[in-house]
Amino acid sequence: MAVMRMVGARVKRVEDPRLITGQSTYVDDIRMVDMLYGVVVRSPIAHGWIRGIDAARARAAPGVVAVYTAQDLHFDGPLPNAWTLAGVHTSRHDPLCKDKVRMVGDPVAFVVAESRYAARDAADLVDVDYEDLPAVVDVERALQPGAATIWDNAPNNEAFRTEVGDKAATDAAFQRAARTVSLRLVNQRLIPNPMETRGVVARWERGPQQLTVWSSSQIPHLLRTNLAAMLDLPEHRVRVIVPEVGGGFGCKLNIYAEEALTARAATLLHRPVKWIEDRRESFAATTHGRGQVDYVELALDAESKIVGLRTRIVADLGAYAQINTEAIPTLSNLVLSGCYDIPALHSELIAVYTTLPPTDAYRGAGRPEGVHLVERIVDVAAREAGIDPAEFRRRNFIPKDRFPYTSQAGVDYDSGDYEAALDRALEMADYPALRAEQRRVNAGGERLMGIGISSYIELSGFNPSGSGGGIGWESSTVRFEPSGKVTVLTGVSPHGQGQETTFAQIVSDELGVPFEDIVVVHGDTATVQYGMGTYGSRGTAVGGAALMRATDRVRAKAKRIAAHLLEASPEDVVYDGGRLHVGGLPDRAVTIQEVAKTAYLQVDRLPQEIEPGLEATAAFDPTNFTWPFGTHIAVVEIERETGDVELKRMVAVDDCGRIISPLLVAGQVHGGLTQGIGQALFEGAQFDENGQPLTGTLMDYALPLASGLPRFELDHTETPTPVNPLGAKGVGEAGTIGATPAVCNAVVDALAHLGVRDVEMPITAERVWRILQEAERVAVSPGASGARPGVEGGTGR
Amino acid sequence: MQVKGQTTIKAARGEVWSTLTDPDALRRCLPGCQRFDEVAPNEWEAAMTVGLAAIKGSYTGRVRISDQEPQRSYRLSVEGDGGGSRIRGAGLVTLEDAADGGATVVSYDGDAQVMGTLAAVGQRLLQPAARMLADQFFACIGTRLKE
Repeated sequence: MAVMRMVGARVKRVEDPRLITGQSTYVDDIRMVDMLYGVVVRSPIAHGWIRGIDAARARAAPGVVAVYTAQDLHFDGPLPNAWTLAGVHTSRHDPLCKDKVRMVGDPVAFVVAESRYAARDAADLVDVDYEDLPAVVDVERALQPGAATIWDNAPNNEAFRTEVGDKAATDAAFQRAARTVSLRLVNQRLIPNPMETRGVVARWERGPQQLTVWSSSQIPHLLRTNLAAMLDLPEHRVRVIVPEVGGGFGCKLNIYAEEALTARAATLLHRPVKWIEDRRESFAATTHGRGQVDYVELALDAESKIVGLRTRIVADLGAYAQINTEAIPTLSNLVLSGCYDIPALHSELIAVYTTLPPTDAYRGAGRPEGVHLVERIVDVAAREAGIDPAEFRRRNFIPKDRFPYTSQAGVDYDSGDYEAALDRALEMADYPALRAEQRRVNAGGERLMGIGISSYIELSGFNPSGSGGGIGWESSTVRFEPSGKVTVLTGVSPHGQGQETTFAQIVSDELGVPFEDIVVVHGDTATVQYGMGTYGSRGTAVGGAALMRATDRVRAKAKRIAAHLLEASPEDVVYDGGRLHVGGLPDRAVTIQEVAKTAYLQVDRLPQEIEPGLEATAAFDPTNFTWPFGTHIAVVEIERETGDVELKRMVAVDDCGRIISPLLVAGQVHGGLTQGIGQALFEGAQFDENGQPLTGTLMDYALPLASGLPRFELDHTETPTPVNPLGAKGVGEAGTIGATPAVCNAVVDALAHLGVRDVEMPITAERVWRILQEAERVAVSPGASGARPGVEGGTGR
Repeated sequence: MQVKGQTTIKAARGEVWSTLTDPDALRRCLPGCQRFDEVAPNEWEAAMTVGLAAIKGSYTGRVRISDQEPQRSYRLSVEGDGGGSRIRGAGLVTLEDAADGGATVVSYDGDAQVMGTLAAVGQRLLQPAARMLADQFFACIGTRLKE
């Protein structure tokens, strides 16, 4: 029986029926007899000393079982930080603040009660005496003399400095340059908003001395290892289960205070404890993304070839080093060559503490920031050199015959054909016709049309263990059951990525079993072998590669069993779909189902040297990152009278290597584009001078809505990676990386005739309106001639 | 956040002054005031339940009157904590004779800092909400003067 080829087929997600019919279980759906509820008491001030905590009234409140402060709870270690980079000034991050708070929302006490409401009411009765210290909100002012010190061991609030590239060569390139351009860019803080906020349930069973923790996490095994250490429990006494997760985007790639607090409370109280984050709490208690001020300069020769790139990145880490906080901005450094053959580059990164929530991974994680500054300066350079932005990019692309390519940022690009993706995007957009339309629209006077291109690169497939951290590998187990059904265990922890579908597609092809006969299991440390979880576009590129290895091993064993049943030698057995036959004799065959049954239930038919069972476990540690790329084109129209920006078209050509599941790739691109557009036009975390959030709810923090988005026009080129046996590069973050600069470039394109070189994100109607008003004022006022509105970066304030 | 406004009370300046410094009047007119206990001269410990923007909460804290210039002005300071929020405010309350005589113009001009839950949820609604509370307070003082 020939099985239809599943890899590359438009398969619908097997996850969806249970999700869209409400049949799945999230952390908050878990209910237990005797369950208690925890609420975290949080600091209302951004920075201050704790002079005392009086919990007596809270402890006496109805239904309250316990109120813990830092004095009451013992942990064997602080919250983990994975990247102890040399020279980084980090400080101990405890689950509850002992003597100082460093951000609004900092946890100071944990109230546990018989009901969520009792805990909530009692939390208000915990009386904390604070002595205010000045807040540190602005990342550049944080470095200036006079700014309050957040950590004693980080003078000037500087966590670390690092650089990539060759400073002398870059400075020399700038001296020789025919033209240089520069920009200051603000890559604003974003607040991740998965539909499901975080949540934890912990149960301690005294008899077996077993702690079970359910958490809405992207990293079950890493959570288990770290919790066991913090709680001083043997690791095999701790089980982490990640049930259905309603999105993560990187903000659940962490070990959080609430996980430790809930688990510790359960072990002390001998009752299950649940903590569920509410949305408002999530804005303060869960990591943020982005947060950089970037200075970028580009040097061109007389032919408008890029000869040098120089950047200074000031990264806002927030108040604490969470698990990957310092690593994220260093990823910006790695993508600074973009798609371009840049002979000299240098970047200095300064990472800075502020009294704001910690930043950490958020979809794209460091690469959107790096790519944004490259794609913005490339656009400005093209305009100032008088060259079409598509042509400028083409002229500077790394040619496709130069791969593998070592960039001056010190990384090796695996494979690429950047011109093909650009050409396809220009063709889909009908670029010449768009430019003609732009002239027509702009002549009308009421609307301004802009076209923005971005050609992005990203590094994905996190990560070669040798590149840092030593934990980039992934595992998979493939097990035939006696009935011939297949169970796949994976160490990745999909929470929307859909590996239950893609991995079943791969296994169906590799082992010749029907797609519906395959189940993919993940997210439970008691059933799944060790693995690293889901982040950094690694699920398929690394987890899928481990899966390929496991299927190879299972197939080899199946051949040995079949060889015995067919009285042939294993080398002569051909694994053809679900049938194993002797080469040249297609009728001398057994099905894989018969092989599986024999392997478990008829082992008397097998010789001693063949072990019973039919399963294999494999691990894969990539030798390099993968380097997806693509070109996005955005078309905007601005209403002159109001400044309103309408995104008219969004064309995205993404090359994520070999495509396993086209529908899922499209889904990932849709979500990524939406978040990328969100950063360009809508989103941005704002704080007042006291560090109080001004965008503290979804009333004030603007997420993109479907109504504000055009119909996405998608296509792909397929340049396989040699890094893994699937050839897949990963696509989870592509949209957030390419879309943001494309939209910004489009807006600037619409306003460039007014001298505008940048508009600060999010590009709200108000910001654009102010630029237009200023342009009009300058135009009618002869005394103001020469003043170019909005030229200096942060315009429209 | 600046809290600034003006209201006219139909009573002579002396009467308005004594009502505005009368603890009993303050207790009755502070919106949602449940407790108002003197802890020092011109300083009280207060408990109030008020809805500010979308957040209704109970706050405990201190109210203090200082820098008194009888019948002309005083400084009012308020500190409140509760519901994961903190409020700190201080401002000048000034009395002047109204142009048409027999009435008093009361002006207030102060600065308030709001922290925690209130800040996160209601920032852009806080200013009108604070104005409304101030208006309520002075309307109440006016009513009491009529009684």
